[in-house]
Amino acid sequence: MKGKKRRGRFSWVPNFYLILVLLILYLPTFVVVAYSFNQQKDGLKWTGFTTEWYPKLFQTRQIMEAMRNSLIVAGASCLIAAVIGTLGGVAMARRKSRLSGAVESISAIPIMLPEIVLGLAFLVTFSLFGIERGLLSTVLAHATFCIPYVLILVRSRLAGLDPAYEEAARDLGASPMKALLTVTVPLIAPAILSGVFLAFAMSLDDFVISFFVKGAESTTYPVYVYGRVKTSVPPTVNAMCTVMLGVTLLAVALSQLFKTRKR
Amino acid sequence: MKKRGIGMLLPLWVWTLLFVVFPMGYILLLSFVSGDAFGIRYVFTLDNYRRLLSADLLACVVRTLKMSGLTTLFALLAGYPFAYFMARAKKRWRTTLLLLIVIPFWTSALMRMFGWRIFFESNGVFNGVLKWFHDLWYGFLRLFGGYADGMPKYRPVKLLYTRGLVLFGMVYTMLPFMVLPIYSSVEKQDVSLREASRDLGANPFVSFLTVSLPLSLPGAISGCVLVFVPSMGLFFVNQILGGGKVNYLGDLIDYYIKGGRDWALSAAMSMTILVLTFLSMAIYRRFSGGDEMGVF
Repeated sequence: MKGKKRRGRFSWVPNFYLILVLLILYLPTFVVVAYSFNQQKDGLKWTGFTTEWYPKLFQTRQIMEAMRNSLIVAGASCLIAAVIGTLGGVAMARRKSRLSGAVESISAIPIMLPEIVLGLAFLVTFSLFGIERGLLSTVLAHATFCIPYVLILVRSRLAGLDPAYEEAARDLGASPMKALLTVTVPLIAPAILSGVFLAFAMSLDDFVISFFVKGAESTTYPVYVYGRVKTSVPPTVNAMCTVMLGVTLLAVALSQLFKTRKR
Repeated sequence: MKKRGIGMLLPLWVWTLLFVVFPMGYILLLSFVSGDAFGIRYVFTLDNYRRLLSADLLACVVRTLKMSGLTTLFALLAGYPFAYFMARAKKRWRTTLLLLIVIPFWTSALMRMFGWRIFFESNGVFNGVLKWFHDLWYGFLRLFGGYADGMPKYRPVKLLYTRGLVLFGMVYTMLPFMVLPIYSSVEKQDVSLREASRDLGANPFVSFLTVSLPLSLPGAISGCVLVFVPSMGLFFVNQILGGGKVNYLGDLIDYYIKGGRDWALSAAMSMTILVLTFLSMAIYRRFSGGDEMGVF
């Protein structure tokens, strides 16, 4: 036996590599955030620290609209996903038929396929249905890939939940709807909220699908950034990205918070 | 009781039918009908696929496969050691590392490409740092008597709009998808197996090659699938870092939908990506028990 710790000459390599990759991973985010505080109006020269671009966000009409659209789309599609995902998840946990298993795996398709295929499929379908490209089409598309997040989390939460709770409520005379709303939903609320906030973050940052189904007046913030990126980008765009990054991280943090919370 | 179950499932079923099953079926159909800029005629044809086999489109398909393949390869080369070291890190660091590698999943990939673009711009941070070293070096030379009449001007390195940078951007974007499955397969390995091989006289390298590596193969394969599949359609990386100089399938799907308005051809291209997706997923299922997609 050798000593209990085998420390060779190269024992610094793992830590060095981990830190190096993480630095590269976060470098571009840091660059975007840093330039949102740069005084220089156009160009990339660092001329000093300023916070003046943040109030300016609310003076640029297109940026305001992009941020508002992003929040509207994420909010509305999460609401749809919360309702449909919860109902579906609860019902599936009870009826384990082969058909509902198939529906579950089919409804998970949107988060497994390349986004571009999905974007194209939505575009042609909406056009066939006569749904104009705009906020509505974007919400419908986003809700479709938001549903699986809620569904998966609700299903896994219900798997560990005793059905006796709801049965007791039913035995005591509660209507099925009342038992669902007053017993089951509060019990699985953390899972629903966790799924909803995760879906919110995914919707907020989605680019490819939004890019395909958007209309002229429903530009979300990633689509706006994409449109501007090839020309010179004003620092207000960096400020917008920073704000939206903050919102996304907040949603993700809330999602994780509810995920780990046990009732 | 049973009736109510159906009532609650109904919204999900209807939604899935309308917005998942129907759209998929519809692009499948579209890829087999004739269509051009004036609209779709529902007549069966194999024309779209035949056009995909025409010289320049086929070259595009091959180019896409090559780029996705290279992305997968480099993501594996960069991601495997990362995942391996991460799984072998101290337990309290592992949670932090895991969080740090997962955060990019949730935040905007487009924003990070935008960041890289600013970084690599000819007057951006990258060239700024290089210029600093350049000036420092020639300053030194000057100090010791060389370059009496001023230093040579710094010429910015133009990485933007090169294929290499596109590849870098793709690998960068997909790296977390490679790291997570490998991490989970390395992490759940029994440490005693590795220790046994060491005690039986294998040096660390042999022990890694004969014990840890084979055991982590399922993770590596699912990582490769998780990287290969989405990378076929990541057109924004090519557009932002490569300026869209060379087209990949993703760029063409976008072009024929918006500019050329040839939906049938776009549909055929999407079907190509879809078939490749299912193919690689089948490979994935074949090699791993099918339980390691649990990224979300």
